[in-house]
Amino acid sequence: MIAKKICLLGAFSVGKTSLVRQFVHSSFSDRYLTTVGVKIDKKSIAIGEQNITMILWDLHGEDRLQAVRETYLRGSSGALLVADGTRPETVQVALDLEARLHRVCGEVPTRLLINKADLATEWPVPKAELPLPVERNPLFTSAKTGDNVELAFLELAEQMLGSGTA
Amino acid sequence: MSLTDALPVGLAPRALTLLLRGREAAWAHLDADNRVLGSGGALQRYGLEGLVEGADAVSTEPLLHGLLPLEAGALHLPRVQFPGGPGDLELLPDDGERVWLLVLDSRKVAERERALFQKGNELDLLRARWAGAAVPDGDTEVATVLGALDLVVFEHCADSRMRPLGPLPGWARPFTQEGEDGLELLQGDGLTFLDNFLVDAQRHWGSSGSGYLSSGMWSEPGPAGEERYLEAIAVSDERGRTGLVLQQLGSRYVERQRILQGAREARLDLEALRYEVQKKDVLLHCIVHDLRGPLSSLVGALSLLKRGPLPPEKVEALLDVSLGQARRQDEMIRLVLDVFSAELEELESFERDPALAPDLVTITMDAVRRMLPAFDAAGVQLRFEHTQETAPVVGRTDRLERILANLLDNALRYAPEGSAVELVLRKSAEGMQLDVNDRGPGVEPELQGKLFQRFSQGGEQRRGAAGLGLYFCHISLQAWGGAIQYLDRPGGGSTFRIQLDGA
Repeated sequence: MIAKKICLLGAFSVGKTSLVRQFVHSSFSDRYLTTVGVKIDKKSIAIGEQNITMILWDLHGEDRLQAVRETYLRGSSGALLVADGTRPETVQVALDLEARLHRVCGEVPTRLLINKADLATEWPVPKAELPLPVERNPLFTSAKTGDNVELAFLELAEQMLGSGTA
Repeated sequence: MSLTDALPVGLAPRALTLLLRGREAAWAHLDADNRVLGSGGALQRYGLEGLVEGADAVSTEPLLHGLLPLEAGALHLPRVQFPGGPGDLELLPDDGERVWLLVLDSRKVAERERALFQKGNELDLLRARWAGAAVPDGDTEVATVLGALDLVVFEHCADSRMRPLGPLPGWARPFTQEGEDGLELLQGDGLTFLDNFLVDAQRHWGSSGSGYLSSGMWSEPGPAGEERYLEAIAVSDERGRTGLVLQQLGSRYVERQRILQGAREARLDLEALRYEVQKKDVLLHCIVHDLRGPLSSLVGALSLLKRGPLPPEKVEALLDVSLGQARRQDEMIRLVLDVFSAELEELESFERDPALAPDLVTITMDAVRRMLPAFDAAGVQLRFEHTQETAPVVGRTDRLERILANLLDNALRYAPEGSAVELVLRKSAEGMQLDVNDRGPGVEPELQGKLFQRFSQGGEQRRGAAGLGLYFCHISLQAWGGAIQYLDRPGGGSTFRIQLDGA
């Protein structure tokens, strides 16, 4: 069994905590409760014959009120970058945080998630028009319905194993 | 006779104060030649039972060599190792040349005095916890006080281990392990929040000067899965002492969260409002653009007529164009007004009395009759299937007519020539259900959820005034307890299904 640190990065209210809760506890709450500081959780999974304990660092959303400390990123083996489909501007926040992660930890694997897919009808722009670099292939997730949530974590774990950071 | 009774009235107030603290004490009264005049108290406890009346004190207790006779007033020697155990020795001059010898319980003295010191400095110590001042060595009572406040102080020892000062509260135990010299802070895996912070703490301790470094708040599940909110603070002082304060946060976390929550919800509201204003601006722009289209045709036709003379058939054609465009604009304006008035009135006035309720069969047949010429002209058949003679529903006749007109207009716009648009009315569990089916291209899945919104950026053709039709249907039906939905039609095309409560 190996243990690896994974950060969830993104703007506030994009659903980072809800994604962790759905992944770890298979539950969801509609009530928005902002994260103060860092919220730590754990889950063990198996990738092939390799068992991994994922130590999930759910970092508070970055804005003028709370800046993400770079020391929080230290030791990360990978990160999920979370944006909110109903707020396309949150994509850039996630990408900016990814740049900081890479500055601190090197080129560790990341996976970009566009969350709140269950609210796709309320997205101001269609998926194809999201402000994304062309090479990015985001995963559309819903912490509410659970769509693609487990897949997101598993894919990241596989990337970590493949890249030798796990 | 108690010890206090045995003491002369002239004994120094300091001796009385010490004695009245109730410690185990031994005493002896000596003359100028160090001979014992009297003795008592717990002499045996300290192995001083030889200090009996008439005995030479210095010969009996070699520790007193060099101390007697007193040459410079009272003498206080803490933690003297007597034959029977440690004690504080007090040598106090009496009136004249006599001396009082007092031996007092060292351990209790130390505890008492430390307690008094701590009482006076408790607040300062708590302040120091935040200001990063000293964590006193071995200050167990302070640690106890801090423990009551859900604070644990770990002393940074010379061997790099972090040992708690005083008893450890239960919540802090998972952060420790049993070491060779008792409990110590768990360190080493680099993955937990606290371990990650210790890297920064080491840097802080290594830097010169005093101060503190906070980890920021974090939360993690406890052994029973309960959520715990914590903060760690690395402290150091100018004397080079270092330590770590670990606190379980209760109300402070909740308060901080409440403030952040309020600020962020306000921010989200502001973003939503800004977005809504943007949508309205775009909608207004689109409506103006839509209304301008017919007007351009109208102005063009009237300009040609004015320029004249034209053959009668050309005049007739231009007048038809003008009239058609004027009617089109009138329709659009009416639709915009319908939507705005519907939103304002919330459509509260509708009929539930079956005798007065609108009849969906009659309204649909009228709509078909009105639209038939346009369908014929486009080469599209229009059929109405129903088994009921009447279908009284909850709603308003004039608005139901607008809904039917919108749906048929929509179907005609997309139905290919030679196809048929079918209206199918049937009873449902809630009331009546009317489907408007066409064989047009259908609606892309991504756009289906936005069809009934007032404004959608997904489909260019539904912007502006033209895009308001389905929104009008939606808000009207919703206000009556009904609904409208889009379904992909089997075999291709669209089905717009409206559901109305029976009256």
